[in-house]
Amino acid sequence: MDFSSVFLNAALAAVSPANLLFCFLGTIVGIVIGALPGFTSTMGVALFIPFTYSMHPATGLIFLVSIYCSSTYGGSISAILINTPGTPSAVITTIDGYEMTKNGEGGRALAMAVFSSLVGGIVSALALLLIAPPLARLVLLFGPVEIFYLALFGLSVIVGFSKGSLIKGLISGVAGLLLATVGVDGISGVYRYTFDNVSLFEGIPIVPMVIGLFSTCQVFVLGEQKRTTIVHDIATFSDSSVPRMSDIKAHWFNMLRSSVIGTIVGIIPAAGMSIACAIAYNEAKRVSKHPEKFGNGSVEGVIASEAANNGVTGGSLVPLLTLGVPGNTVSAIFLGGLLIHGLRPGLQLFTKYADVSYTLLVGLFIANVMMFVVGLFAAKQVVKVTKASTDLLAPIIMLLCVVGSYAIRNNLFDVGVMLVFGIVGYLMKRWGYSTPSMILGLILGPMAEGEFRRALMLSRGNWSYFCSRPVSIILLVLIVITLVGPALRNRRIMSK
Amino acid sequence: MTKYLDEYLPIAFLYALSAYFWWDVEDFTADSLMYPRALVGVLLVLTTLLLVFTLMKKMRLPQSKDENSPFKFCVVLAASIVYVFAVPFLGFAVSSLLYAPATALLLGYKRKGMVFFVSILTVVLIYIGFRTVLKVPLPTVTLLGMTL
Repeated sequence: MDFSSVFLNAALAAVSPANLLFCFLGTIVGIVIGALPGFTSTMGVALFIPFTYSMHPATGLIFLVSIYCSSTYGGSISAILINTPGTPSAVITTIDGYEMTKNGEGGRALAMAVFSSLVGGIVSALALLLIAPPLARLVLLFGPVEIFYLALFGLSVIVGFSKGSLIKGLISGVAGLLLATVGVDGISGVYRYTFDNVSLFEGIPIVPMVIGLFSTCQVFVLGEQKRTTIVHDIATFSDSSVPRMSDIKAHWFNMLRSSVIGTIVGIIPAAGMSIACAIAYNEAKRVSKHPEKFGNGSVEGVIASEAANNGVTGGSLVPLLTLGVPGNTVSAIFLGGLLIHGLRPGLQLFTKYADVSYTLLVGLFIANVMMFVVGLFAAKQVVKVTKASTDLLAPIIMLLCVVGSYAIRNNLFDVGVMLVFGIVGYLMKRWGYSTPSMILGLILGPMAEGEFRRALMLSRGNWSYFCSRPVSIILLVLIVITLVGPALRNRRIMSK
Repeated sequence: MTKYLDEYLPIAFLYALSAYFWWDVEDFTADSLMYPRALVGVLLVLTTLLLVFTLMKKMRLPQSKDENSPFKFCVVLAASIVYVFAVPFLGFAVSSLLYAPATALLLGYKRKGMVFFVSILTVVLIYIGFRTVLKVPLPTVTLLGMTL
């Protein structure tokens, strides 16, 4: 089948009633999660992966991508109305967003936030559609050594850019790789570290572990807080929250430039939303006719930040879908969503599973439009959820954790795994270890081990084979740079 | 005391984890043993580095912005453990309807009507969503002839 017919079929599938319904539900869930300070896009996607298990893969992935896009936007609602960024990516939106609200322009800020998010999302979806399929062909150049290095590169990206200590990040990643060795060894058939428990023969189940580390952990964090609500005061506004044509005309270039910045930064593994927002905000201020207004309620600042952070969403999926290297933590979790549907990143995703992947790509456009429509009408109402008591939210999230971890294999053992990793996640957070690194170690572990051993077999134990091709040397250098670079940069900043 | 525990307990745990993965390899073939052993080696080196840096006071623990209550943490942890163990015996619906309101009230939530309303609504929505829409079974138990 040629590209046009594949794309047409995908477009028709994307607008099927089931896909639209789940896109709508994902949007609502995402906006609510994004608006709640302390709840991240990562947690939202992790919690809802199991819900997609019984769905058609395309429907499930559209649902997850809707949560991703809309939770990224949702963070701006609380940033603008309660001066608290709902997600870390909305920190820069807070600078001018809340000032605008104080100046009586809260409606205008919300309107331009949702419109800029739409533009950012559409630009990044377009980039994903155009860049991902040809980039996936790169994988054909890779042998077992390069794929092994690619898995390590994916892990090093998350480790290198994780908050806090590099050693703790590395320990978390290696612990994840080690936990991935649990189960029947795919090459020799040996049972490793299974305690003769049938439920561990396939290895530690990924989804319950993801839910435990990201969502159950949050139950404990919310439950132990002394304060019982996330916020007390929500600012009110009286102006219209519908985007004004005059604003769009005056700031279209800022919107477009920030979207492109966000998309490019998103494609660079682990560069992250905060960096994209900072660069876009800085650039908007640099070329603005009124730089003095930045920080005092400039709509240009809100536009730059929001277009950039939603630009990252599609961008971060480019390296994930093509090379299996997650662009950020959310896309690392999204990788788990792909795997439970039997999909693996790479060329096959755009050939054998083209129907699913192109439906997802078209779904990303629809998710952004849906986010705009829902955001336009619901922002003012959604922010009220931040008044919900954490004492009530914690047990309700726990119900979702239990049902989510049970749903994949209908196995109560998985619920226990979720609880254990919930406690582990809580302790890791308390002790400053990186949970995303551990998850990625577990997800990429089997691939890394399989390719490592295949390479050793091919080379008959000759270790120089691991540095025999230019691509493998480049990847090795990239791994070192990704691990050492952020640490050196942090040291330089500290010494200044 | 808590600070020392927070600093050294994870290191002790990491050594224990490494020891387990190093020694519990009775039936492994040489081929299947090499990779985990290599990882354990790396983990041991990293943990020892961490220990050295901790002894030299070069590692800092993350600071929480929120004021936390150890009592509330114990409540939510204990209730969650009991809940997970109760699910196989009471089924998802019954155990959830006991766990959610009880935990919220124990944590200090005051509005009793609201807590029961939200708990029942959530359980009903999950039940309908999973069993009817997504056709995913949930843990059930038969009570008085009804499957819950």
